[in-house]
Amino acid sequence: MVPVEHLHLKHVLQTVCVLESVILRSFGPDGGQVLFIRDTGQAMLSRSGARILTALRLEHPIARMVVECVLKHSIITGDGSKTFILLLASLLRMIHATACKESNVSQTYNSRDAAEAATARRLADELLQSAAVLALAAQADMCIVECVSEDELSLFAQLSGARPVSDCSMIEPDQIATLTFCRPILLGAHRYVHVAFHDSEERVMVAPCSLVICGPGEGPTDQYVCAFQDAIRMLLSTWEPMSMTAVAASKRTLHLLAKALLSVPRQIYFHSPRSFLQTQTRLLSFIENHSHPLCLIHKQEHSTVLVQGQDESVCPLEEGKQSIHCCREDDVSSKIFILDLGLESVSCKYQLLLAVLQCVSSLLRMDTMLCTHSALHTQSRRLANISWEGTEDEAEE
Amino acid sequence: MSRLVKKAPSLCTDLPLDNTDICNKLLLLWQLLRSCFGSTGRLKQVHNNIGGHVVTTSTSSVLLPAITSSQPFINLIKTSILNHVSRFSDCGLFAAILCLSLIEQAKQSGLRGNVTIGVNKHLLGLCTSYLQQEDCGCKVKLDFCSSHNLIRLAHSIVSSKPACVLTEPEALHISRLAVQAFLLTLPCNSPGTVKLGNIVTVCVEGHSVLNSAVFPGLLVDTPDIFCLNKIENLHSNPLRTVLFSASLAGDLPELGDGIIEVHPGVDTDSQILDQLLELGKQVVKDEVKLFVCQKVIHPVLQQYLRTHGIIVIERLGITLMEPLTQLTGAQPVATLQSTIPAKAYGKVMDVSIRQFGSKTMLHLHPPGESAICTMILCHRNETMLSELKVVCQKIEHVLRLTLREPAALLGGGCTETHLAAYIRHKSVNEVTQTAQTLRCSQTEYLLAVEGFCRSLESVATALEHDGGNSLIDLTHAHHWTRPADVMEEHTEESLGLCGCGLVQGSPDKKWTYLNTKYPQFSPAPLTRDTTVEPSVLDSFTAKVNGLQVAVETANLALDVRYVIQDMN
Repeated sequence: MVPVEHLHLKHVLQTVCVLESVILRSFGPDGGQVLFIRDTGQAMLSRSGARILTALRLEHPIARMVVECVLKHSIITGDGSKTFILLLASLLRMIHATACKESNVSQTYNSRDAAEAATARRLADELLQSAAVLALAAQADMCIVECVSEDELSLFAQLSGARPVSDCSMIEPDQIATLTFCRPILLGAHRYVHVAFHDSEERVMVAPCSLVICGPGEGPTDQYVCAFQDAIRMLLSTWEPMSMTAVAASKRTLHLLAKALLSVPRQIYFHSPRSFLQTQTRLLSFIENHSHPLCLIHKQEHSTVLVQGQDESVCPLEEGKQSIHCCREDDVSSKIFILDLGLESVSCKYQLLLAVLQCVSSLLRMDTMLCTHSALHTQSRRLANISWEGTEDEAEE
Repeated sequence: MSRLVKKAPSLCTDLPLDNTDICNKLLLLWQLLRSCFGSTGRLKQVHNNIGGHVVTTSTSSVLLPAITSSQPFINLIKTSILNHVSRFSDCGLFAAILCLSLIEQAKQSGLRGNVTIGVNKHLLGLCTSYLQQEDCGCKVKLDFCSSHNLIRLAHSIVSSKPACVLTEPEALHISRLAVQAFLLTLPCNSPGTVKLGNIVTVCVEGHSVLNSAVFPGLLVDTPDIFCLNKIENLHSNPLRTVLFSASLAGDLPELGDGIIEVHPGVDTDSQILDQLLELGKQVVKDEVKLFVCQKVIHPVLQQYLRTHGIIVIERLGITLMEPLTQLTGAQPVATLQSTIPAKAYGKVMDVSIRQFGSKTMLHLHPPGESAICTMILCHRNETMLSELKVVCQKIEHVLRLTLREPAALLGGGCTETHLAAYIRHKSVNEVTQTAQTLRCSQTEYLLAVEGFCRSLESVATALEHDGGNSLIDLTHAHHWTRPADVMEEHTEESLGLCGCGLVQGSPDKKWTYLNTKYPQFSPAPLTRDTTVEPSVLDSFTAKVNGLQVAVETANLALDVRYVIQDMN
């Protein structure tokens, strides 16, 4: 008989709150770092949400599911993993507090792979390291680059428009790429080849460029690279058009959502509640003064994008769930919102909210957990035996 | 097969600086290091539960590696300071005490972590730019034309380590020796790139410190008494030398790796011995007078060489190979199968015998000027001798650092109080714009500045261990200590010189206790009276870097808000 556990909302909430407590201290411009110590003694410091969540060794399946959602979102937008967890936790708390189930909210979800600009390497045939071949090549004034990985090979083929050679005896004209220059370059302890592609009409007009990031050690450099990649992903997703959907939802639901959303700026202004109230009042007066129709702007106050209602007065706009973007008809009034603390991408925020809502809905649709036993493999370090005790043990003070 | 254990859940600590266990451990570490600081510091004895080597020390380079904590947060701070010590070998205790004081002050002020971190960074920038200025009030330029300042720097380092137990004339003697040894390692006339030489230290236990000496060239341990007579007979200078890094003991495994095929009836030992004797014959033919081997020499070969009047030194050890190569110019021969090439020979100007108690050593004089020298350190017992050896290595490192930056900072706590007064003065003038840049309120900024200055001053007060009081004068911002039992009325007579020895206490100057609030003032530069020199100096590079490491480590510690530790 397979052991069955019935899931209640409070268990889900408990798990998510544990995750929230881990990333809470690193959230926002005033956030600190999380120190990880492995059993090998290796230490890692980070404040990146994705990195912290990946480094956690989670046993509970709900926690693992939530972290997977976060990471999927982060891969697309490159940002917002901590905000995700915070919103998730506060939303679940609201729901739990009102003790009602959230209705099905279906959203369309845009997901697209981000295209990255990457380095290109000179492609050569995969020859063995025979001295004769190298000597021949040197005679013929050719450079050979060996041991090029599959991804780089395909990238090179895509960028240059040439097909890779499979049969060494016959080389066809369309298997030859043209480069403007090619020279060796030494970066740290690795040798690379620097090439530039010749512009041609058939190929798609993209100018590849390479970025060299230096750092003091392997850990920090890795974090810099990830931060960079996240930033680029975020910028790319900013330019995506957003689709708007209008769905009927009850006032109470919107109310709940609004309160949950306010938890994010509350956390940022944790140390000075007065500035939080000041900013909130200003934003609300701004919204009330500028009535519909509203159009898109690119600049927003940091972190509050969607504010639909307050505790007592609901904004006299519409009942449907619709994304609001404040308009910028006169620059003067909008300048009062542009604080010096930084900007965030609207599209990322939109996707974040969608992802959070989807995650909440799937979490709340679960009602039972089945524990299955499987044979113990020597390679896997996680045992298949999952139990409730894992949740309480995860965080010890 | 390794045991499969279920992975234990990780230990999570939220806000480590609010955790009582971590706070207690930080306080303990602070008290421990504070009590070792300075020339009147207390010693610590480090020993293992299960027995083993016992060390008595107050040096951070020996103490810090011996301390480990179960809290990784503490280990993080310790590793950072240890990193500094391994690179600069001085001002380790200064950096550690300053770092822990900064963390403590930040907690007590109750400010947000980010504000303190920002202000600390800003103030660190102020300090370093002030110290790099030409007219900095606590900087002393080192002149290499005279050895006084160098000796004084060395003397400050020697006297800051009480575990050596040296009297005043002994301390002076050691400082002079250390500077002399350092100067011998600087080659003067060699063309091309300058390569610094080596100081080889030889420890002799049981003798008075005043018997320590420095010799140019290399002193080699030799139990060989047979060659004593031969030494006097040598008149030809220079003596040709050959150096072997391979073993000449004649053992079969040392010939090489792999399978050796042996014909039946062949005596391998005698064959190898024949080969060794061939080598010996070549050496005699080439008129070599000094035969040195890193490892063991076969006794038959030794006897053969000695009968031909060659001085034989075996079991030199790997540490002396590099200095000997540099001294003689000989290339170490690594194989005994081939004939010795002519360019593998080196030369030694002279060989003499020196006696140190029961140790007989062979003194190899270099041909011409060489950057290798040997320092013989003597002391009464092993504990003090090992501390003295550490101190001498420290002095060598610090003096090398002065080659890059010929400056020193005033010691005795005067630099710290001077910097604190300067920071207080400067920050009061620039409150408004700095608070705006750092995005905090003016009150917060001033609180953080106060915390920073108090940390600096607490380092200066850490020098006093006998219950006395620390004072600061309100003109030049130098540091004074007064014993606890002195009466209030006799303040002016009892205060002699300040911590560094530059400023004389006089009745017309104003003083105040260090842990009280004093009106901020700009510390006046001292009129450079060349007859008065500071008696206590600190290494400039080491101290500035120590300051940077301390502030950066404190910032890191304040920034960590959550700790996750894997248990297995």
